[in-house]
Amino acid sequence: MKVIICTAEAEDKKLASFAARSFPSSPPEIVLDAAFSRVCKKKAASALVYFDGSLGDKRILELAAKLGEVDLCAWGVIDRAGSLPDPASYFFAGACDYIGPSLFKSGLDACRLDEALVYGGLAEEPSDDACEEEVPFSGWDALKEGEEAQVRFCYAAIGNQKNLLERIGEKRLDKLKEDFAAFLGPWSKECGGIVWIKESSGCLLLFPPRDEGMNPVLASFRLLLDRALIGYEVFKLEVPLTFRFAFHSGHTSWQKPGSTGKIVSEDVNFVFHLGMKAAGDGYILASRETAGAVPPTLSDLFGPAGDFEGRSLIASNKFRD
Amino acid sequence: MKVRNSLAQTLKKSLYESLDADMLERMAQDVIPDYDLRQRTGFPPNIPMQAQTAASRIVDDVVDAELFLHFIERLARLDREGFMGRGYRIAGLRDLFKAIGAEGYLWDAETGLFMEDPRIRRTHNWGRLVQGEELRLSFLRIDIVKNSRIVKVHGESAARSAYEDLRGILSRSVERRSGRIWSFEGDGALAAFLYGHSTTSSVLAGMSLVHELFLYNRLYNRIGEPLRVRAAVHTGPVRYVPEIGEILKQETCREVVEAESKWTPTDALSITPAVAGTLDRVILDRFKPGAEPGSRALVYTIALGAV
Repeated sequence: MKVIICTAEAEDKKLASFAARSFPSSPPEIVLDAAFSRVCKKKAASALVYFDGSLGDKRILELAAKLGEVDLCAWGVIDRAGSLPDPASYFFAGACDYIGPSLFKSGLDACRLDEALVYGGLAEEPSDDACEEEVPFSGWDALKEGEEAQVRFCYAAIGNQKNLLERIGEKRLDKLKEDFAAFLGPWSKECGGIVWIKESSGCLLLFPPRDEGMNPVLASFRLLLDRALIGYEVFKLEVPLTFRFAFHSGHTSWQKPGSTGKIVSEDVNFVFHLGMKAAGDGYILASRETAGAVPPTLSDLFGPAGDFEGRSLIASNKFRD
Repeated sequence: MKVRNSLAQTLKKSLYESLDADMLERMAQDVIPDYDLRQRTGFPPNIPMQAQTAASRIVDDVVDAELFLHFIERLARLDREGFMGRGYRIAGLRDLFKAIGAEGYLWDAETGLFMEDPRIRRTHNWGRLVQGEELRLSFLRIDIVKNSRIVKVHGESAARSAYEDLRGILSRSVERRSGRIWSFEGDGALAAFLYGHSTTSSVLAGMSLVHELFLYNRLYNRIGEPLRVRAAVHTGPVRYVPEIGEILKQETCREVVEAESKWTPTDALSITPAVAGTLDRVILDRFKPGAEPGSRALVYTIALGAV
């Protein structure tokens, strides 16, 4: 979900610190009042907008009124000093959240943000105890064999392999796949992930259920953006290279990489099918369950992509050569 | 480069063991035009000169002229290619390379030139260009679109902060490909490339800049509107002078500025025909003919569309 904070002050360190504490995985866009008025129709679509109290009561209500014409948009107020005269008036005007001084100091947690999104109509009501269930991810080494783990799956593969086979031959293609799997090791580590299963067609990566380091969808998007540079500079290819990515969130029983032969998991099966049968070259395909992993600042580049094996999908725009 | 006495002595020994006085003078003339060994030593023309004497004088002179690296590069080429159809072996060349490496210089096999080791230092001229030296360089020029308006609307402080971010992005794209930023003014920048496949490096740096700016505008830009640039790459001969203003007046730089201002759309990188001719097909194919009437440039943009 895209979050925007509209403020009157250009370099507000306290506000930036609040944003970093409250939205660690995908920092919100901080926009100045003057710029916001001009671009709100374009930027605020599908976004949660917080108006900073520095704008003043009257200006907040003026700007909020402009959001009435924007699709799928909700808004709230940040009142760090507790100085705004009547917080209830914002809810009468359609606000979905109010962040007072103590919450500003501590920062929002994920559950609070979810509540605001649900109240603003930007998310569906979660199951009763979804927030209580969530426990911090303790790392891959801490998982015991056979333990059920909640993870984000990513199927990653070299794209257009048929064409590559014709252009560079079987031997070089096999070497390229090996090199790509080796490349994915440090790449996934930057997002707190691991290369879990290596198959001849592609690799299954695991990421923590919440971002630990870089967001894996953003990292994949960056890889697709840089595909020409990576193909030429990293893999020394004289032919075009592209990738395909499929994301899904779910559960699996944990086994260490290399000992995954006997894993029975509906979600593992699904992500393999998604990557091998539904995903395509040059874009990211994800199950609805993973939609929350798409950084808000990229969300306008993702849209519905039909259903697959009973689950609805979203897909990013496609990079064209 | 500061040349230690031990390194100068190693070179002298290497020279007199490998070449006679005439050949040594020939090599010196390639780095110091009109070099006259006898005039410098005071030896009359009718008295034969020992290689040891010639080597000693020449090494002292190239060190004084700050052309030590250039002279070693010339010797390396002699060792590799010979001269007038005859092969020459320079004794101890490997040891010389090792000693120069220890001083913080790397050998670039592609160009046959030494460059400073970027892990140790990064200077504007790669620690080796000298005034008046003629080189073939590639230039990446960027222009910040509507720069004055950005400053006017968002204020000097916000604009300065955004430009610092842009400088960081440019610096990462350029320096990891052995290029150097030669100027970064309010309205644009110029980066130079000399080593490796310099034209390819400059084009890849330009593509990387376009990509990074695309992400920056979505993820980190705080001025409330996208920071947009036009970028262009051109290659050609340049006579090096330390003053960037003087370099910008030279033909190659004027052409890259023209390519950027006339033929490049916003958020795009353009390359001139001189650059296009040197690129590998896999990179060249990413560029399309420019849409501007009369454009000879090829243009790269990020093409993103529905699945």
